[in-house]
Amino acid sequence: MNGRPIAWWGMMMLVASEATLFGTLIGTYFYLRFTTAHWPPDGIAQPGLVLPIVLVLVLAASVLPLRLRNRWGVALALLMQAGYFAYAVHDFADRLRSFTPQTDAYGSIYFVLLGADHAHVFIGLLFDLFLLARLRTVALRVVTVYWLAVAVLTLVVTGTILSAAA
Amino acid sequence: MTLNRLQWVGLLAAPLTWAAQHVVGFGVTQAECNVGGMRWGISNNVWQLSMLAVGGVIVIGAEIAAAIVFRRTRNVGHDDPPPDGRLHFLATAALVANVLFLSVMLLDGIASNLTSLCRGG
Repeated sequence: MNGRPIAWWGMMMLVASEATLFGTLIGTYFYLRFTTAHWPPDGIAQPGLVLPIVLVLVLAASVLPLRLRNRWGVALALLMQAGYFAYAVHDFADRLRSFTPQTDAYGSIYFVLLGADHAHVFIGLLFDLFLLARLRTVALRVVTVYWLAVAVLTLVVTGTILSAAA
Repeated sequence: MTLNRLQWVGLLAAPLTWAAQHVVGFGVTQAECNVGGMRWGISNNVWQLSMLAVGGVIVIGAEIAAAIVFRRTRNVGHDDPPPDGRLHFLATAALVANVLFLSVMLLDGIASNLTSLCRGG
């Protein structure tokens, strides 16, 4: 613990604050769910199960190439994460065609929760691009921590969203 | 108490206290407003103000702990090797974060006393 660089501690503090943000959002989701008779309400279709689960597992697996600690590892991780992000944005836009954040409470929490998660993935992609341009040991270590946190957050967020289909 | 322990108290006491106040406060509200908890006779205002008072003392204690670590490591830079660099960095972060947590706890505690509880949603 004593040997970790300051940047690592800074990233841990960011992760802690982001975990708090997502904790409150997920708490809000289930509070709304348990006070609503039909979930999703207003005839909104239930989310699909298979593709989101496969893609979120791909995102989680993308942390492994980062452990190679070289440019090829970062490039492979970037490819997997960009693939997930492309699907996520496509699905997000597709769902917006059938309901919006203004439709009801489900729409509000659905798009806020997913939007916040996608924003974190996007920021991670920018970190990857930075690493490809200027690979540094400490930066790679810190970005790996970030992606590990984002992978766990995305797993939890996806599980929360997909719980509507249960 | 060692400087290392003091730094962790300064950093972690406030967020843990806020989390406890928030979760217990939510439970107290639910107990007062729902059929199952009404017979317990829990007073929301008494609980919220008590938690605010105790929590406020803890957070002020954490701020003092962070200030002590900050002062004792004032000649250390953020980029200095650990553990001194880490002590100074996290003490600086705790000094700011504790003020924010105290504000959040005040807003949480005051709002839950001023707002009308038990309205149907």
